[in-house]
Amino acid sequence: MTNAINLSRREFLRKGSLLSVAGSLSAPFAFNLFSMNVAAASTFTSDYKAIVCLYFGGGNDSANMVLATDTPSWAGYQAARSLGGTASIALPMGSVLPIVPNTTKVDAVGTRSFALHPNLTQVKSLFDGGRAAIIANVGTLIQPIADKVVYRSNSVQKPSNLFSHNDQTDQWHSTDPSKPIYGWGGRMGDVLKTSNTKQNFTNISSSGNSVFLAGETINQYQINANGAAVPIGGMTNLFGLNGSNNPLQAIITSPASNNLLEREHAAVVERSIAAQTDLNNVMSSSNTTVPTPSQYINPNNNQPANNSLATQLRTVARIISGQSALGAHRQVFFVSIGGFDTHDNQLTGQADLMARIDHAVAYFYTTLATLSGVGDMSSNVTLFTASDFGRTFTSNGDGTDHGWGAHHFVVGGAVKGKDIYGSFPQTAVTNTGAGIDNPLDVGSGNWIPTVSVDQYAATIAKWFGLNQSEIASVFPNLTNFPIQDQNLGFML
Amino acid sequence: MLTTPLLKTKTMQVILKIFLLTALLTACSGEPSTTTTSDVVKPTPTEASRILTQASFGATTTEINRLSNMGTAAWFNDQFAKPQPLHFAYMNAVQNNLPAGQKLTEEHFFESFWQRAITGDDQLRQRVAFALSEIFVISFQNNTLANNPRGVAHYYDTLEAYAFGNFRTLLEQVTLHPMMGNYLSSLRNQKTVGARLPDENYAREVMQLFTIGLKQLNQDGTEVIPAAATYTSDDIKGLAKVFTGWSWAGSDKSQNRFFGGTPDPNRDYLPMQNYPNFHEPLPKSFLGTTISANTTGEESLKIALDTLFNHPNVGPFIGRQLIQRLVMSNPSPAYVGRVAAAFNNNGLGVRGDLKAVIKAVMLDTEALTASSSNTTGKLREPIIRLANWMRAFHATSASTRFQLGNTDDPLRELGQTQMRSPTVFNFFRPGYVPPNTSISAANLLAPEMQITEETSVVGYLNFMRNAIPNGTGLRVNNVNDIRPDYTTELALVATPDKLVDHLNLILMQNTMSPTLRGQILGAINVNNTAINKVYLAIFLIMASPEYLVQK
Repeated sequence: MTNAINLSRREFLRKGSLLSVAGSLSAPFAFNLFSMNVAAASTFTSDYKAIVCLYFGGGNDSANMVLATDTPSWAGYQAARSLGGTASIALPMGSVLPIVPNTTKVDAVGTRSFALHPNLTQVKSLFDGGRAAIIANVGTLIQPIADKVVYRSNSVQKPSNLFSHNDQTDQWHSTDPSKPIYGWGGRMGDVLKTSNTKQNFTNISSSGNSVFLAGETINQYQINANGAAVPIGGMTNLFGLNGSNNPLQAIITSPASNNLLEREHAAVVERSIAAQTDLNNVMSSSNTTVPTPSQYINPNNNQPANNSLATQLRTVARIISGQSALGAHRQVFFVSIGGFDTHDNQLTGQADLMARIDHAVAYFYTTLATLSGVGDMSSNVTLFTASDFGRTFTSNGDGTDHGWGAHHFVVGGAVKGKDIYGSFPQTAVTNTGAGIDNPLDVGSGNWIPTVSVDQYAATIAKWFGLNQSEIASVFPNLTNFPIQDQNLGFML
Repeated sequence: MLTTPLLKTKTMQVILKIFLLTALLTACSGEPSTTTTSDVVKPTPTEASRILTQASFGATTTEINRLSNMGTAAWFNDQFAKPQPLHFAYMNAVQNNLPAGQKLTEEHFFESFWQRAITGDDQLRQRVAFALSEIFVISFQNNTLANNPRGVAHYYDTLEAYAFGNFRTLLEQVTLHPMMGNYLSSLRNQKTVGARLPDENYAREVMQLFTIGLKQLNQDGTEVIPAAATYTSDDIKGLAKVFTGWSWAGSDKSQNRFFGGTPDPNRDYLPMQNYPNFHEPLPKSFLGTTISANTTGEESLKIALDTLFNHPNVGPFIGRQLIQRLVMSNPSPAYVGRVAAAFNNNGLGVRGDLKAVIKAVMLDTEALTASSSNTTGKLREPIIRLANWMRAFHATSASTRFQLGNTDDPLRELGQTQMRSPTVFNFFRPGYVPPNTSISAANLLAPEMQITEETSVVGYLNFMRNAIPNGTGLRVNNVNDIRPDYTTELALVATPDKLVDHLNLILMQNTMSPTLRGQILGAINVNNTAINKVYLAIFLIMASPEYLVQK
């Protein structure tokens, strides 16, 4: 009781002084805080929706995740990737899983046909069942780039530091070149946080510090991947000292100095303490009610193994099941799986990763369908995939290098599934025999994206409940794209 | 009323000392110190502790006294001359004693790391090597490296060996190390054949992370305006050709060996060799340099590394990161400029002399003098905090091995383990800005804040609250392998002021605020056992933001 009062008073003082610090150094920052607080934001207090970003760390080779199998495309794929012996990174036709979108794709290549990576059997089921859609050739763009001629002409603004892991990751997460440390998940949280009683739990990462969830007025809560809620020990009794004599909480949350690093460290500790009790309530009750995932089968040795991605998604499901305890109506989650930087050993490496994703996503949607206490949440939760970049369509022997545009999938009961949105890159070999001649190829089979991250994201944001002006503020590049393409239509 | 003149006098003294120190170190560069140095520049205990918190894994009473008595110049020269015991030798010794069929693991390297960090007398080398390991990153999180722990230990030896050498040599040794070759897939990389193109991984990261960075820099580390990229995709494709044909060392250059067959027993550490059949014969163009067709792999590598090494960005790019790893997150451009100048020329016309760079980093006014600015300092990273504690309290290992496994778990451990970075971008990036903070509002950086979050702050506090009384490491028969010795502190419990003075000096370089001092004295003045008072004082200091930010 005493602690709570002290804490809120300290918090008030701290925020007051921080604002004055900010004000003296940067007027626009203080103004932003002010304007964000008073602006009328969309607020939802009856229904519940969540967005889950499933991040593939390292840059997924999506050309082996979603494959064009029509005869000309397949020939191009084989020419680029089937280099014989150990050097081949081409998947055999007999192994890939055919999918048939509701909308037949006909383009310059002809009538296209498609398949998924052999280890995505359950994602295929979700697709076939209309609960998963594929968005083709998505990537970082500030404005549309028609083809490689335009790209080389320098007449358009290009994303900076293309093909670089950390820079492209940040741009996927942020999309706003003027605010590269703030993510679009975070900015959505800024807008919608008033929907939640416990605003600390608006943006939650089970995979460390993500740019995606960093808001300008809201901080992401970084939860343990297993969902364990552990308090700071020694806050009351500490080495024989108890109660009011114990200065630990004061020391760790209220530094005497004005040093910015000290104050910001203390702010993290203060948030941690504030969130701990609420989190503990939710996580302890959901630990028994939300089933643990089974093991997945590693396709390289056919042995069962733990799937840490499924564990992260269980943690997300547990928090969703506690929505009433947290007073939560809009939440954004970030989970991730690494290992996609397959410069070498790609065939085996990616097979294992695809098996983990397949297993984790299937577990998640099965669990959401009968979530303890809240019922079927599968139409209230939309999961989308993201990654640093796609990879080269060409092979470096047993792997691929950094690329640009990439295919992604979106899953959930609110998704208009069993379809492929956006145009699928043409990978047919030309008649001249000079290899693949794709006007979007800026080198080594790196495609200029035909769907921007903003378009992909804004389509999800619309479903999430942001109004037009909020979407425009969260996705500043969106206005550079034709109005009819600003919503890709893959959400109900 | 006396404060102002006193401060002024102190500042003057410090400035004079720095001036003398610089002159002395320049004069006796490379040579062992003579007796004259210690007479002239004797740092106070506070100054010595400050140097040691930057130049070692943590100050101890003994080392503070030694440095104060030797003088700064002599101490640095003494450190430069210390012999380097090898992690590699430790790994071999362990291997020889393992039961048949058992293999070395990463934990054996961790033992060696902690032994040297805590008990090694070559502290400067150890600390700088750790900083280099956060720039030239490889990681046990890679499966191949996890299966070659002796190779990784040898890589760490390489960082230590060239920490006081020339950057050009360090760059070459890192580039040719088979563990780096595996980590960034330059090992087994092949020339262009038909549709197959060389792997670009190492070519990209050696430029982006190890030498020149993404943007053209001024010599003071600020970006050239308007911003200009240092390289293009074509530069990467050109440079990637240089890193073809390299694979495992061995007695021949057969295709079988190139692809990993008939492994040489020492291939985990012998430098990669070039296999001409797999090396790119086409011309290689990058950064304005063109290597003509059919140049050998070895010659191509020499030209490529010379080109990178001589790029004007290297001094400010690497110098700034070393300052950030060792001294502060936001050095002034002038400070970066002085370090870059030392990189460019050590005073004897030599470029890339890391001894000169380390001196420039550590003996700069901004490093030696405490600043009252609210933007100074750096957050101590978790591994450094644990090392500070072990050293300050003379931790010993019951097994003598310092058996402490990985401390990755942010919730229950430290959220960081040496040589287990999640990616080549290190645990945290040099340019990290914590969003929605006064730090971002002030346009400042705080790299270590990237791994500081709601979960990790709990993990660190609970880990230390357990370690301070109980020790840490492998638990055998209810006793932890690594245990502190609080004899000195227990003797001071009867005089709480002296206890706090002592801890303030070794852990906080005498930067403790009156407020924190009052809080700690209040806590230890409550009736309690002597040992509990020691635990309380140490834990409350190590929990405090004032300690956590090295200033």
